[in-house]
Amino acid sequence: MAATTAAPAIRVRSVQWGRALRLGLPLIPVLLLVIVAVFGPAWVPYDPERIVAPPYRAPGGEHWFGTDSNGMDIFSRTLAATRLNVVVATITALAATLGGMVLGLTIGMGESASGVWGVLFRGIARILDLFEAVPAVVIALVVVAFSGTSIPSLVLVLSIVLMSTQARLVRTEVLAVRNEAFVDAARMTGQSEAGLTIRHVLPHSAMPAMENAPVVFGQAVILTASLGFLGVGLPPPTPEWGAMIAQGAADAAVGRWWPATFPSIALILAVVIVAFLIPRLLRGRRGRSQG
Amino acid sequence: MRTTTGPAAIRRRLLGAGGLVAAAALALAGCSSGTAPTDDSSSTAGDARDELVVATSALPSTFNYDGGTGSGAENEELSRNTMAALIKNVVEVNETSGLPEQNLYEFEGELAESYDVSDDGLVYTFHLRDGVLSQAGNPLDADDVLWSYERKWLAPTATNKSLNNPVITDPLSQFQKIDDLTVSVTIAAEGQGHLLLSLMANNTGYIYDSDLLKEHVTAEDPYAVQWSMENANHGFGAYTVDSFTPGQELILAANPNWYAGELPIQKVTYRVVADPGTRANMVASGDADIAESIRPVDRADLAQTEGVKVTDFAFTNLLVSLGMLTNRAPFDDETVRQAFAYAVPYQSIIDNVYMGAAARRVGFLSPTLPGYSEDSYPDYEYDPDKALELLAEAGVTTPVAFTLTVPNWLPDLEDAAVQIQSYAADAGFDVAINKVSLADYNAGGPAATFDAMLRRNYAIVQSPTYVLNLLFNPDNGHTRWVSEEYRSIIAEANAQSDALAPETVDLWLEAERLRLEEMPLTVIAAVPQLNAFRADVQGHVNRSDNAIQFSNLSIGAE
Repeated sequence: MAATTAAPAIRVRSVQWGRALRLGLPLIPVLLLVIVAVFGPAWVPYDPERIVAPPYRAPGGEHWFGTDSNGMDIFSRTLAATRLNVVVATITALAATLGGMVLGLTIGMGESASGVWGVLFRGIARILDLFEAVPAVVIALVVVAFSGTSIPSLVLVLSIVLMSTQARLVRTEVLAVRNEAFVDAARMTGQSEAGLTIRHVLPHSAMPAMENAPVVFGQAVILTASLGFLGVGLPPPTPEWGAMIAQGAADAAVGRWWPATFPSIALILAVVIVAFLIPRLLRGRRGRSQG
Repeated sequence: MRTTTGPAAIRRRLLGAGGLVAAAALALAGCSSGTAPTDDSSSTAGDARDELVVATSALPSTFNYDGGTGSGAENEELSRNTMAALIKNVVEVNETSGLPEQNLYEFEGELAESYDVSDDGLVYTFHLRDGVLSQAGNPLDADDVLWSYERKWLAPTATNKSLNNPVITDPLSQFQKIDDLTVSVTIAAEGQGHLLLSLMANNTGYIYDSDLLKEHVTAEDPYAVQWSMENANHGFGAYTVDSFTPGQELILAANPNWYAGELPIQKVTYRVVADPGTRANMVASGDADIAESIRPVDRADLAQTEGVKVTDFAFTNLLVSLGMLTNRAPFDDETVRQAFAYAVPYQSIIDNVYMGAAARRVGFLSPTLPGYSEDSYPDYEYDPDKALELLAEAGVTTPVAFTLTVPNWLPDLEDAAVQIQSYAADAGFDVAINKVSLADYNAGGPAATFDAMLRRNYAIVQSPTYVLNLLFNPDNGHTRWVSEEYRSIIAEANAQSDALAPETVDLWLEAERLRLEEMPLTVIAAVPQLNAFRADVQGHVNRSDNAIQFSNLSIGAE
């Protein structure tokens, strides 16, 4: 009997361990990214914005990732860029998600209205579709031309560009939820449209946008890098992965591979971690809470 | 069902984008061929070897300068090869470099067979070559010369008026047709003769095919400027534009009507290659005969590459300089400007940005000027302690913050700005770098909107008065520096009978010294031409317009 009762217990424990591993493993790189973003600039061996050696030192003991065309330490710059890219992407993801929720809710609730307001909201919905059809980097280039390049303006530009996706996700949910019985019931109790939108529609419409926020984060990282690569990013020598890749691309063509390679790897890792592992983590946690 | 807007779909797109970035970056890093030549014997451009392939960063934006929009090395090079002037600078082999270079003080005929000067030095008479035909087949005559200068002045978009000051102010009265093949030009002061000849030997003096252009005159375009901006082959140059594919390719063909006869290079194909590293690789591998606008670091590599050569001229007029806006803080204080001149790491820029191939220069005047000497000049070198001392003397709070503007299409200037930012921090300056587009750069400089700006440019006309005036126009000069003393010294020099006489040269040097003391602008270095050639391309001449003149080139053993 003892044997028959121990086997299920072991199986339960192994299932628990397996679940913990599935949840915990994705957490490690996420935590590492956060730690590097927070503490990285304090750990760097050299000032990431100062010339510390002759240009184009190959990777080695003194400069692990080598030096760039200016003689700046690439390891220090890659690490320091993590904070900037992660901070810009985090604020962008938050702003785009919050803005997208407000916009999606407003349009979704308003576009069935008759008259001018209905036309207006339906028009805005089509504009959001249009935003989706045009490559984000093109829109960002146009907006940057007017707003200039600084961290606040970059965040603003990216938030505007990426808000449309979030707004469309919320709007799609709102269109389904607004005619649900519980919304009608709330309406019949005399609640105002604004009140029932916030109390009843929002909680049932926001989840897709929240789930998509890590993806927006990843898009923000790539867009920041793309703008930097196209030469309209933050002013030099701000450590930023895209600008570093752009600066090193011509070097790579003539055999100096290191200035572009290390920021490229960092960029890929950050996007993979946030856009793929965090949603996996969230799904795992939601599954556990539902289970 | 695959959705196009849901998180999963977006993640797929994100993966694609990330993958693309990764693939691009890693492919560049991993698949590069370095600078080793692949096959020296297969050097490009077909078997005839009277053809050249040029890897360039951009193609000309116009076929003609007179629209006022033609600045840029690509436009300069196109006009140099498709247009011609009455005279040209004599070319000599420099004793130091062993390379052909322009003599900036001696001239000979180009479209004119010869010229002579009256005894009082005020009348220059040009004798045109007989039988010269334009690219369109029209004969050259005195009317072409007079009409060309009339157009340079009277066309609504003409930019030549200020450039020709003070020697040519009214071509309608100064230029006279003696007969069909003789033109005289009268100037006001004997000492302006060198300036006149320098102006007439360069892009400011190109002669148009007036017979052709008059056919395209309209009420709105009375000198066919717009037409000639859009349509090539309206001059007497060595090459014609054979085909032009914007953004991709430009083909020049030898002009069968060229006055000097058949050219060794019959065809030149420009191919646009955006990446400078790829351009360098093309000349290294033999896929191009010439790579233009390469980076200094690639130039240094190519100098060591078998089958490739770069030109180490004894002197270039390609100057990197840093101008400061003198009519507002922080550079409205002369002492702060002087302090900043001690905060610029000149030697580090030469070593780290130009790989040691640039030369320290402090002034705009050419070192080839007879009697040139820098002995009287203040000695500005990187000295952070001296800079801090001067800032304390000026009574300003440190760090002194300002924005340094650089053009976003010249990576060497961006690198130089980063060097300045890094080193000037130790000298009491907090420099923010502002990268701007061509349009913003060209608009912002003359409009005096930049605290300070880096430039890499050259004075095509190497006459002292032209050089000293070029960047210091009080109305639109990017430093807005106004010095009556400077103007009066130049005026005094202009009034001398010989611009190159020792006492006149002393005046030019005195003007330069004054500019260095008041420091509206610091010259950092003379940089090498950023071109590379296959080793069998011979004859590239060091010109003041820094263009490659294909009529000088040939292909063959060194």
